[in-house]
Amino acid sequence: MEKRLELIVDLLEIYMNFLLVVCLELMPYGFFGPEDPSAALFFLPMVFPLAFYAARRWLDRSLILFLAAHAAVIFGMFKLVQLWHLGLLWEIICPAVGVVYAFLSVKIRVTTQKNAEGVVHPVVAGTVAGGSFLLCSYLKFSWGCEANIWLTFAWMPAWFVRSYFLNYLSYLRLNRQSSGIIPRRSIFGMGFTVAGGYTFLSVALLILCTRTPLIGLLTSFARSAIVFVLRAIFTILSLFAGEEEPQVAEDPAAAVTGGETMPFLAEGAVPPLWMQILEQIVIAAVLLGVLAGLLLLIAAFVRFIVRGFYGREKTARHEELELGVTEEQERIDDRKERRERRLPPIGGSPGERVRRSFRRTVQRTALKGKTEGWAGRTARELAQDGLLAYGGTAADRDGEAAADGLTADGRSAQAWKKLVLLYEKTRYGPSGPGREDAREADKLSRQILHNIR
Amino acid sequence: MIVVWIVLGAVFLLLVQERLYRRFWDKNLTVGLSFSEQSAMEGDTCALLETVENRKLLPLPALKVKFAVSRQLAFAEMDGGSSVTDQFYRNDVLSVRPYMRHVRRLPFVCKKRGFYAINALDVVAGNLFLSAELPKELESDAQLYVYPRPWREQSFLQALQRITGEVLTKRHLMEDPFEYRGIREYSPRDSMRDINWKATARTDELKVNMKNYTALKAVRLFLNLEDGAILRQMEILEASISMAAGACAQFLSQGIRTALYTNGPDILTGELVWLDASSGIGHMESINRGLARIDLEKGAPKFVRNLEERVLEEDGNAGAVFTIFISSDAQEDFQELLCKCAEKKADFVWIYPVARQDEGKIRPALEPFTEKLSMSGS
Repeated sequence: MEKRLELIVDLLEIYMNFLLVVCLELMPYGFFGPEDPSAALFFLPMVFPLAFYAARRWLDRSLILFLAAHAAVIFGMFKLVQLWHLGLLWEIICPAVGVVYAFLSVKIRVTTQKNAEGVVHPVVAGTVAGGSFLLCSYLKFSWGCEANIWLTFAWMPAWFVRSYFLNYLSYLRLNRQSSGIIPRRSIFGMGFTVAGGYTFLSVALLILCTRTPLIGLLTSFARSAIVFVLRAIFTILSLFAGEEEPQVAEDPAAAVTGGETMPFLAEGAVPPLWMQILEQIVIAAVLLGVLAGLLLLIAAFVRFIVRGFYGREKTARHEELELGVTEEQERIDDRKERRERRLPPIGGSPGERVRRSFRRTVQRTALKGKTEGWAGRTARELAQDGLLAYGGTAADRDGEAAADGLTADGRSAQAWKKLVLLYEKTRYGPSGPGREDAREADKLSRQILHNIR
Repeated sequence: MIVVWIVLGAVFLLLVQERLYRRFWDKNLTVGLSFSEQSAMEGDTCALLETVENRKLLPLPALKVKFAVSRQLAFAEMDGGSSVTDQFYRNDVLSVRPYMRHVRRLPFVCKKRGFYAINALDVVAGNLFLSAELPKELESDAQLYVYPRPWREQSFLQALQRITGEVLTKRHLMEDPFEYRGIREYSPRDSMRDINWKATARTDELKVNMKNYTALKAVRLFLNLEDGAILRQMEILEASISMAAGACAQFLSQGIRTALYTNGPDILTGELVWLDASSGIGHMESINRGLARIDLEKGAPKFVRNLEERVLEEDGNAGAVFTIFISSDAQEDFQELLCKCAEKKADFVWIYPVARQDEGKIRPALEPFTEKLSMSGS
């Protein structure tokens, strides 16, 4: 699994570098390119790294074959450009790019002994994309600008996925040194699901922002908010200064929007076919994703209803890991656990009835008018408080009461004593109380509450 | 502008998940360690249970549970399993979804007698992208007693049988006038005062009371863990402890009151492990726990200095107590103490475990009281 992931990371890196090269390629194309751009030109930068990656991966044992493969790739590309009659400029640029790639490929093979070629730092990539975009804007090369934006969109999800894969792989490597068991598949599954969702959300957001006026609305809202805040501040300041509010000569929002031009949004040349296809693919993927999500939601809802009808059981999943290690996973139903802990208002088992009697008595005596609750206090302490609150004396606490937790002073004390014993028997005894005990507890509770009236 | 929004959005989402994890990762998270058994015998297989409960919506894709445990609890060998000094450092990773309880069961073999506790554990969580680690230290109260396995060598069992026979024979000579065992028919050798007149009247036949035997007869077991040799002979000391466990089990199974006194320090309190005579149900458990908690790493203090008074004092009780010494150490002062016991005509035997049969010099006066047991079997 880890080897497969490494391969995917390598391919992602090639893909991301390819996108960056296309960004770079757009610049000379803006200057010298023909009116009708050829799709082949933009896919050529992908061929070089893929071919060299394949050479590094499968021919790295034989150096001669390895070098020969590189030479063959450069020569092949040169002949292809000639065959397509792309012009002298491209006959120079393509083999030159090929030579640079070949040099890098050999360098990687010799120095790092790895297949991967690494990826350009996001800041550098962003600068290149931004520079390309500005240049295309300057040259009124509208579809070049749009291509830059789309390339950025295509680059970002790949960066997220690659980052996650690399983090995952380094996490495994780090923990392998001192580790017991690592559930590789579970970690990867959960992380990749979330990262996939995150990527999907990013792409959907990007499409939403570029294909709808949402961004424009958000921007105008932000501007209006800024203007409003500035005006409010200025008004308050002028009130303190005792001057009249100055008249705003012109609408600042309009001033800002008026000075900005976005040439790539203007209707220009028809986008190239590959770009249209890419756009259609992305939109189709988003739609499919949304559809799949809806179907999953419906399936989950039906399952929920069916399970609710037949009664939900606590399902525990038993998993055999390595070397006899097993793991059980069980869903925690918080609501159910709380419901089970809660005492029914009437009826119930004898144990529940004893607990309810004790609880009712304590709430109406020991805890009446007090902010502190049950936490951290024993049944005997609570009973003492209840006794002291109604009829008992402070001496009860310090005298013989210390021996058994309660005094024997008066009928209430006797009743409390018995009630506490019954409660302790219910909570901590090996066998639960019987019906007689429950009746006795109820009687004692009523007796105590009657005495305090 | 669009690109700025996009970049800001992506960075915002990344930061939000990081902040969320930093703030809430340990909320309603319970991590605990426990052993599957409270006690086990040397060589038994037990399991350590790691329990993780995540009672919140935030999933924990990778949660590391780190703790140190004694190397004497042998977990299955892992690739790269890290064991340094006398501790084995485990680092288990779990992937915990929202509202889930995970119980991981790690089997291990108890290699050696002892008291093992895990007092602390570290929990380290990773966020969604595994780009940050969030640590927390927790307390743990997992503890396990590994009892010594009773010694089952043939020569030792034979010696033990002889001692048991001697103790039981002497024990049955005296009847306890206060303990009744039952009623039986009269026989001519019965005394008149043993007749139960009420039972006789009821059945119209002479019936006599059967009395139980005296409970005064008891065995004291002194375990000397002092080691006078230049190189510490841990194996023989451990064997001595196993012999003590075996002997106690044998006597208690016969209903004989057994006391155990050692000069081995308790690993928790630092005091010497002493258990007074009893034949109750839980006494074997107490003895096993005491023996498990003996810490041999610290080295036992002088036997004679700490236990001489106890040995000689109890010995004076009219021969009601049989004394067994288990000692692999035969230093002069120890032999001198045994000679004093012999002079007082006390009932005692010295079980002397040695590495080889020709090892150890015993005073001639002590030879009749000594059972020399060779570990090598020769």
